[in-house]
Amino acid sequence: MVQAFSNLMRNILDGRFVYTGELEPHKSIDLSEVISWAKTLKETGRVVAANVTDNPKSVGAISSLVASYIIQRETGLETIYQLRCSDRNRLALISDLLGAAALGIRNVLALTGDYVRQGDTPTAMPVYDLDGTQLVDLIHRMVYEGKDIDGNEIHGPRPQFNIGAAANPNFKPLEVEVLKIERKAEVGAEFFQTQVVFDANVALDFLDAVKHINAAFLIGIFPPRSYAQAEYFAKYVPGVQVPAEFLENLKKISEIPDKKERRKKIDEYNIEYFSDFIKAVKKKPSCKGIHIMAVGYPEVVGPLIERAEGL
Amino acid sequence: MLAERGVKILDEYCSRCVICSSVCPFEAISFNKETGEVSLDIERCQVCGICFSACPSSSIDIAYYKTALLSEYVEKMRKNNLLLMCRGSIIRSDLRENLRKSGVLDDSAHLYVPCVGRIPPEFLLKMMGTGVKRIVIVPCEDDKCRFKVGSNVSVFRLLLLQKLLSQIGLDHDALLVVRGSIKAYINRNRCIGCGNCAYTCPNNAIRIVSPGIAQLDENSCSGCGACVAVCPSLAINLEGFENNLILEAISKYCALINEIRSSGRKPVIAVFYCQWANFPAPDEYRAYAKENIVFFEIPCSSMINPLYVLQAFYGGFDGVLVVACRKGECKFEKGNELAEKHIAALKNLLKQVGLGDRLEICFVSPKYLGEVDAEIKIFMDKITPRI
Amino acid sequence: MIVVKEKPLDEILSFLLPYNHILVVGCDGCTQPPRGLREAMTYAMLIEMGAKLKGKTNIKCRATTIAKQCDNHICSTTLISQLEGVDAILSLACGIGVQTLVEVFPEIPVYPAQNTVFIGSQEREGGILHEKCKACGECLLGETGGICPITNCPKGILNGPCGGCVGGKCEVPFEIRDETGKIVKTVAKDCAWYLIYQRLKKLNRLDLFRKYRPPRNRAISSSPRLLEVV
Repeated sequence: MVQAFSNLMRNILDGRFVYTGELEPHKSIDLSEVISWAKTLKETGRVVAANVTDNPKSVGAISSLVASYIIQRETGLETIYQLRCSDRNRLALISDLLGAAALGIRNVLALTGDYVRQGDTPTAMPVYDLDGTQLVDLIHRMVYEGKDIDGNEIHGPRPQFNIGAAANPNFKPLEVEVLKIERKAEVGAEFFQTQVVFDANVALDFLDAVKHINAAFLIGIFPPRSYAQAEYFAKYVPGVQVPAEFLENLKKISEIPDKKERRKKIDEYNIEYFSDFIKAVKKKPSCKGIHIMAVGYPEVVGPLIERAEGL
Repeated sequence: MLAERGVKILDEYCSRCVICSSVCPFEAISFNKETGEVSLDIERCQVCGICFSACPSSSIDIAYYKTALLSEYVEKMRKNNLLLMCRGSIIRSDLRENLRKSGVLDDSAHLYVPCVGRIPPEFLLKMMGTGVKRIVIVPCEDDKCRFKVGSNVSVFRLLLLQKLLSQIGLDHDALLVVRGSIKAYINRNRCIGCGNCAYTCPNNAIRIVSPGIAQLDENSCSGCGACVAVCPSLAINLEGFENNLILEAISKYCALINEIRSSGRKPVIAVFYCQWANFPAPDEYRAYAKENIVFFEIPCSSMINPLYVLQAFYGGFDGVLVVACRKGECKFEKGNELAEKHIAALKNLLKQVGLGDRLEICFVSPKYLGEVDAEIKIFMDKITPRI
Repeated sequence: MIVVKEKPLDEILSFLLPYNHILVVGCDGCTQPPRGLREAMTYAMLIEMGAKLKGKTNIKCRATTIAKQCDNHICSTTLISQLEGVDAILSLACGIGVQTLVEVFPEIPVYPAQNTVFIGSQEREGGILHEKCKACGECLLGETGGICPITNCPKGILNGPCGGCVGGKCEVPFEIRDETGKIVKTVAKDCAWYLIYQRLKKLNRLDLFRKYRPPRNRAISSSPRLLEVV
């Protein structure tokens, strides 16, 4: 039985459609920019929580545990602590999770993690003592049994987390992805945030394929700030389908000479396109929300949600 | 630059019978009915000489092993018997014993030609005319002939000749034809079952069987020696070209290097030549020296064992040149490509002791005269004597 | 087989130059490429020639081979009679052979001519050797249709594929390096877990794919390791 420890989960269990955001702290001790983005998300009134990335793309950044705590404390926006297996063995993972619980973090997204050699520190040792699925298992045991993965008891109160994992609607064949998700759900994943989807049909097919699984699915979207960003996805991120019409329209907008006008038009187009997208996927009962990965572009989030909700 | 050809058709003698065209295993000779021209496509020619021996009007001129040269060589030997062998053939042990017992083996002039198919029957009759009592001819097995049909053509002719000779009252043993092809053989006490030979053999003649030993199917073995080059245990050898024989020959000439050098400070080089790429004189056999060049014969360039090259350099040679057949003309199909790979790997290894540039491989054909000499010259020019 | 790669001759010479009489010992066992008698003879000559270039002319090398250098009884019985005057041994075997010789003949310095790189097999066409086994001690080939995720997956995960699998290919390509370690070429690599899925699907055993695999017991694969022979 899933218990709601976080606002995110409480909202989902209460039947409300949720929106989450994404925050990417830098290789810095200064969190001020990320905090201001978090504030923008909080002020929309509709973003229930935001992910804080953990060494994304294996580029070393400030600890996501620390950033998750500070952002939550400073802004009141609930964070989803992203924890990856690339850099920590199970002892370190347990230790960080106990710390996160003590600091009041209520959501964890358990990831295997991008390969260490692909980032800016290729000399680092890849750890992968656990994989993402095993990390879900570990967290579940800590929360629901008060034990770690080797069966050692946790002293005192158990940590309280809602457990998330990643999914990819773009994967072919979809059967593989479904089997993976089934595994993760079996060992305790309660919500899934997906990889970026541009084509609503891809999301709809995915949501159909997972409807038998007892978990909440939040479809990931990426409103691009420019035509170049969208083109990058289309050309260089294999597997992600970007509809031709979407690209065409963005291209037309990118040709507008006036920068301010261009920005305005892009915002408008994103809002129009993705609100339609959201309305379409909302119809599927397995879809419990949208994960908006507008990194560094938080100003589009509020208006987008408003349009999608018909406000 | 037009090199002189090793094979020519002498138009003024040609009777247009076109037997040559029909026997040529490489379809190198063609006859144009309209113009009456018989032409030789030298690019296809492999200098086997079968056309030469088939031609009834002596209109094919081949630069190598001219009949006069061969007769002179045999007569000089002043032996009672003639042992005529093709380079790919070998006298099998039972025949060898017979010939030894009957005294023929020791009292024979040994004559090696690239293919027995090039020897016209008239030459044999001529030899008998000069007093040779017995001729033993050893062609390759019919499916192992390096020139495809040479062995068959020759055996057919010889059997006819045999019949003829017995009809005119000559002893039945005067002309003996016994086939025998060179084969590889495995020393089971040395084989470690690594599988290199099985993988390398172009005829799939070797299998690795339990408990971990290589096994050779003699019928499939074409005697190229590619297996010898890749055996880490010196477990596989080629009859007549055993590793220890070749290494001994190399050592023998290494011992002479100082003597050769003292005659003038030229580089002393070792040339490992493929039997089919280079046609030396009848008395230049297996290992011989010409001034500062020492020649070692191998049945195919793919047999070049790294140990031979190392031994040559270790013993003091200034350079090693491998002479292989041209691309596309290997008598075992891909031997020269294998050789090229071996040499490239060896050069890399030798680079570590400063000898990488002293090893080279060249690709030639006897169809153009002087190619081997030209390559040797190019090689010599870039080699300086080692201290 | 145990895949080995020859050390640069300079490195080998740096080990051997202080000595005068070296026994070069090959192994007829399972290294890939095989390093038997011929290799030993080749090295013996190369070392003498290389040493001479470095000004040491009185080095003498002798070549020999052993059926298996990983067996101390075979090593001692084979070599005991060949060590007269030998002041160093160059072993052409894998790391096991070198260490066995040291155990059996502790008074003689033994040096490796090879770097032991991995347990693998040979792809005969094109000659590329791949690591095939990590000796993890918890073989799961029975669950993966015979495809090893420990050697084929850079992350070595047990519940793959991970999010880095795109179009059946791994986010990490093969990196081919030159002798200095610089990357000269990358080749796209199939995702191990994608291959496992395809294989299990073909074998009608997707139940094995779907199965959740708990974390490995790292104590089993951490060195030093030993196993008692009963």
